[in-house]
Amino acid sequence: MEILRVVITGAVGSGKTTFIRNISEIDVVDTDKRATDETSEIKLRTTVALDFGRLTIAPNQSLHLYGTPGQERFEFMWEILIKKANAYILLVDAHRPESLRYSRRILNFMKRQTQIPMLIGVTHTDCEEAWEINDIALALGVVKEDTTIMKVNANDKNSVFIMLLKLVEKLAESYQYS
Amino acid sequence: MSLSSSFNDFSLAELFQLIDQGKKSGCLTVRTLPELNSAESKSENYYIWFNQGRVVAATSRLSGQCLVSRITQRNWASRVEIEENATLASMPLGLSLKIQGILSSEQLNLLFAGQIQQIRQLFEIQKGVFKFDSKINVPWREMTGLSLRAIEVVFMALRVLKNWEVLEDALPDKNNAIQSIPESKPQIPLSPLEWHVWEFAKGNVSLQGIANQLNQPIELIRQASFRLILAGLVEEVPLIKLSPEIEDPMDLSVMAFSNYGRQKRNEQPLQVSTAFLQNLVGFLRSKT
Repeated sequence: MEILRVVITGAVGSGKTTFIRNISEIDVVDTDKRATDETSEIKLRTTVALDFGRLTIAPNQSLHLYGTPGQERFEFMWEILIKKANAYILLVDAHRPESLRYSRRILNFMKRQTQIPMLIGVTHTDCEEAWEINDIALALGVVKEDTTIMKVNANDKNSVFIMLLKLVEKLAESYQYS
Repeated sequence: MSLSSSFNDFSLAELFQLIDQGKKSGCLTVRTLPELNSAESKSENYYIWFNQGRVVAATSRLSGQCLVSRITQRNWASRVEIEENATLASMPLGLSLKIQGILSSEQLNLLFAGQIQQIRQLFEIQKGVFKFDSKINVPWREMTGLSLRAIEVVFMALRVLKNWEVLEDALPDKNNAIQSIPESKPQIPLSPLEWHVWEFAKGNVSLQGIANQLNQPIELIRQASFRLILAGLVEEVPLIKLSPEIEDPMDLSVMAFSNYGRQKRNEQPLQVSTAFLQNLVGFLRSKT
């Protein structure tokens, strides 16, 4: 069985669970619990361990999606999840600048742990007060052109598939040069 | 779309870094919010103009008369003299008056220093909101003709900052390390402490460790590291440590990574075949 493992990471409310739930062929195995801390101001339920979704590509080939918990106190899960991932996506909420510092920390953590292909997906770009992608890139410390940052609507299947396609193409490219 | 937020969510220092790195032009409106426990505290507006990431003017009103007032208050020129000699509409007022021999270079420096001082004081304010608008005309009448990189203003402000409360969440964690960014070189003069901290930016010593080795309070090391991060010289990174062997992690991650606990550190994930990737690309294309 061949499995491509993609980790979806990001701060609370960036759309990780929605991203996975939207395209998974199985009911997403989630570990959402009712938020009882400051997270509850952003969303009622939050992921505390991971989300898991799957897409079967062929009888012996499947794509697995793992969503990390967004809260800082579950940071230990990042390492567990990224270690065996083939690629990852960092989702960043465009209309909550307060999440940018944390998103930058996640990004630095991941870059320190692994050199696998990655993309940054900016969500909630249609919200009022949403920051522009270029400004988000600067706030994340992404100044090099080798990091792809793009808009994604986690509620829209097409948008999610486009992002995954871009990631897989990047992965295929990295295989050519490895 | 404009850039807007509150000091608590995105600090003025981080915003200045963004403006500097993005070489942005426009007007930043800062509205300070009154402190609840201070009867004298009140809400005020400030306006800072940038050109290509450089501060070119700062005022507390949008009257277009702030620089004129500063000049007349110092008795360097009368309003009549200023209006008679400020003939060029698309030139900074200060520069125009210097060309006409009304103001000296030293006087222009002092006027600009006054504007910078006004900005520095904003960094001490704990409650406020901001909005950056890039679609605003250049305020020729408030400009001296001098400019300073936004990041230099941040360094000047943060080196003498007394109250770091509003920046507490932005400061790097004492248990994390800093890693220098390849090919980055200081483009602004660093203080001796900043140099010393930068020398530890190899990602293998925690900030607490740096504080111990330099015999400095941890807060000073966190603050110096923060300035180096803003300058684009280093990044905050977690210390690489050996993770505990996980024999029986959560059921889901067992399902996901069945051999996780037995994997050696830095072991690469299993590559998938090119045929699988081709299938996957075809599958995803069919969905878009």
